[in-house]
Amino acid sequence: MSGALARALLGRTAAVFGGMVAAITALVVLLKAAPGDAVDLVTTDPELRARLVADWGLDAPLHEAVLRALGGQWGTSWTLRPGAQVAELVGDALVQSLPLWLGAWLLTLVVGVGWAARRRAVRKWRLPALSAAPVFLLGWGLIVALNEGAFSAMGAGLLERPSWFSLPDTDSWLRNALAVGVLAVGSGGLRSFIDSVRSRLDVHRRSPAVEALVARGQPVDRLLAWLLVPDLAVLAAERGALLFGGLVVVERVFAMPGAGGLFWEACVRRDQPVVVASGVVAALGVAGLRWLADVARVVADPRLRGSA
Amino acid sequence: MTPPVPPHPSSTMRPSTFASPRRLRALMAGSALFVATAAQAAPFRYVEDRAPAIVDPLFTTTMGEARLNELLFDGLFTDDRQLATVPSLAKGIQVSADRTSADVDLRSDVQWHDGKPFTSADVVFTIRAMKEPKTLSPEGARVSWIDSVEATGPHSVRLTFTGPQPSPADRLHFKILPAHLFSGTVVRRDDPFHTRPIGTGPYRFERFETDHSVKLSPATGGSRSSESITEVVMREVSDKSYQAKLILYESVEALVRVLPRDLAILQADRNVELYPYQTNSWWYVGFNQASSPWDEPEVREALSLLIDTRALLSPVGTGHPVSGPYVPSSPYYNHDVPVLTRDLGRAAELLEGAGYVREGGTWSRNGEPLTVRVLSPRGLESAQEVAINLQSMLQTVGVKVDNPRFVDEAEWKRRVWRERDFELVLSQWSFDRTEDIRQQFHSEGSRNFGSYSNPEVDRLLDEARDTLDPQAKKTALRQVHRLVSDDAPMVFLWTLDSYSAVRTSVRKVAIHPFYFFTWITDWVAGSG
Repeated sequence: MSGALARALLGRTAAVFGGMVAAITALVVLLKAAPGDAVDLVTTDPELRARLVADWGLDAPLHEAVLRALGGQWGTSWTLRPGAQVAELVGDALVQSLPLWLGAWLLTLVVGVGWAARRRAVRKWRLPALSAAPVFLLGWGLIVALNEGAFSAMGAGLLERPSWFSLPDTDSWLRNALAVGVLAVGSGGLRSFIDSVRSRLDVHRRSPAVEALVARGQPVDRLLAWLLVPDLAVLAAERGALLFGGLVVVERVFAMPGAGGLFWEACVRRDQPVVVASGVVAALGVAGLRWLADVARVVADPRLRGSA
Repeated sequence: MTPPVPPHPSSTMRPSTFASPRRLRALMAGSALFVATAAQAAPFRYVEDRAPAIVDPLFTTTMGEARLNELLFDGLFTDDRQLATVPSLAKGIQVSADRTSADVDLRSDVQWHDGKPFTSADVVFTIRAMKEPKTLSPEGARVSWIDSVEATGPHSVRLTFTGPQPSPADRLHFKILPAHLFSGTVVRRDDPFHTRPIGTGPYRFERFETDHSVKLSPATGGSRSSESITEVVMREVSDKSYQAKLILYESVEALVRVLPRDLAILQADRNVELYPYQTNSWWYVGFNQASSPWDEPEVREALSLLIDTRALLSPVGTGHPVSGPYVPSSPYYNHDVPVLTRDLGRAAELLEGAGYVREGGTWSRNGEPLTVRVLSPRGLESAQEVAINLQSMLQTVGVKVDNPRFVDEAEWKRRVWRERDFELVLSQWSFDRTEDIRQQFHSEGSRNFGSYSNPEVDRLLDEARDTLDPQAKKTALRQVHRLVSDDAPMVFLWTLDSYSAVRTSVRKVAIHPFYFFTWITDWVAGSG
């Protein structure tokens, strides 16, 4: 490995780690600033309160809380699942969320790249119209429409009770497929991914190498694909990071167990260890993806090594 | 878990519009799954807004947890259908002549869900654990009147009280825990017991599901058994507006509480039965009497007279306006105290007497408009409608009303209970069968966050607590009702009519107004 490449990678790694520390610090500050705390949910007795505050270390200074969070000293849950090991809770939730996140990510990549690569934009209005809807609204609308449609059909004797009925309460293939689709498409996610890929493709189509091939009447698809790889790595990583945030809403709307729902509930219940652990894991995931994207870009494009 | 590509929503709903052969094949495959129905016997599923964080009667803080406790655990005594105290784990009680102690005989035919016998050690343990300061139990106040407890035999205990008790059995409804599963009377909130609770109730805990639901199965050897309902599932559905849909869809069998707006649609469904029940709950607008101008009784009374209670009530349901801190069906409700009616003239007199003048349509004093800032818990159903209507109502009579704030539980507890950082609160008080309002209205009450103080009310509440004579208690508390109503520490609004909904596939349903499942062993599932 050349010195420039090593320096570039080191710089990217330091930036990613710094970003993660900043994110966790911000999370701990927000938690401390949030109105009410976990003890408020447990007791209003001043004496009990004082004991629990000491017991849980709620009065610990900021730097201690951040160091504990980053060091993985998360201990046990306070209010969400009192006594349960936070690492286990978050680990289990991540495993539950992984298929949803991965499904949405792959769907974004496959549909996004395929759509962007089309020479002719077919029925342009369809995707923006669908993708413009917020994740929450899109999910809720689908659930209501399917439930009401099926309920009416059952009432009219046209349909026996489907195995997925009623959404989102039954763990079914339809619920899971809808969740994947909504996470991938909603809030403009898929649309912006397609636009980004298309924009990069346009840039590459105007590059001298591609124009030279075109001038000679030779196919350019393979070259375009190769040129797109670094861009795609970055865009895919960025989209993957955004999907982490989407999990919170989608898991709530579709009543699915997972890391997003756990994070939400932990915030509501002011369960600081669970919130912090979820934050650390999410930050690690996002930072890791960005690091991979950066590395891919630096490795693929020697021009970037000097700017590290 | 999932196929990577979901069906296009439009193709699911309107297949003919985008009917390509591939889509049609996918639709047919999907349809085959649509019609695959479960033919198993349905469990009894009921809905809670929030799954219990902890299943341990020592640390119960929500009604959802209390309802689950009712299925899993027993107290020494319980309620019969007339809400009279009857033995449960106890066989009987003999109270001493001076009413400062009692011997309780326990049943010897009861086993815990793990097969161990129920004994006096369990009762001794439970009371000592609740009283143990290091246990940090919010339920400690329930046994503060018990000075000591000792086993006098394998199935008998002696309780010594801190003072004479008129009816100790009425206060022995708290749930009993198995001593053999704890190492001492100091119990931590995170004790593993709450993840695998063992009781003597009609159902035993099976497991927490990943979707936060809780599964219970019928227990054998407990104090009572249920033969008809073979599985109980507590489902968490945080969206209240969706709960009524679930019972219509046959996705659950019962709703603990039906939103007023859902009553009509459920009433119209022949597969759902509504069960009205009387709760000891009433709504109020409470003043922080430690903040100006709400420390002035005449300003509080004036504001009360500016409010049309019935007009506020009608959009949110049916119920009964109240004139004081009890529901009209309570023996302590003083029917001689009239419900306040809107009286703009009298309100104007009171405000003028307090130095307010109406300038430009707004009541002001020293250039400061009379301003109302209402805080309300977000989880209180219909609170938004009430608060917004209240805002509109007061603004039309010259009171400036800032936009109401709705806060989550943690912020509510911090601002109202801990820091007293509020001016007016719109909320609801719910009481158990004892209807003990001492903590709310005694100057030393732990729930008296409005800083209300009236020495005569304190005296009467102490008298009601200490007297052995039920009639004297009734008289004292009716006087409290009158005094509190006169002092206007809050605007007493109404008690709402409450309804549960249960599918008609469950019959012989009787619902306890507070704990819901007390009589579940009498319920019958199935159409037979």
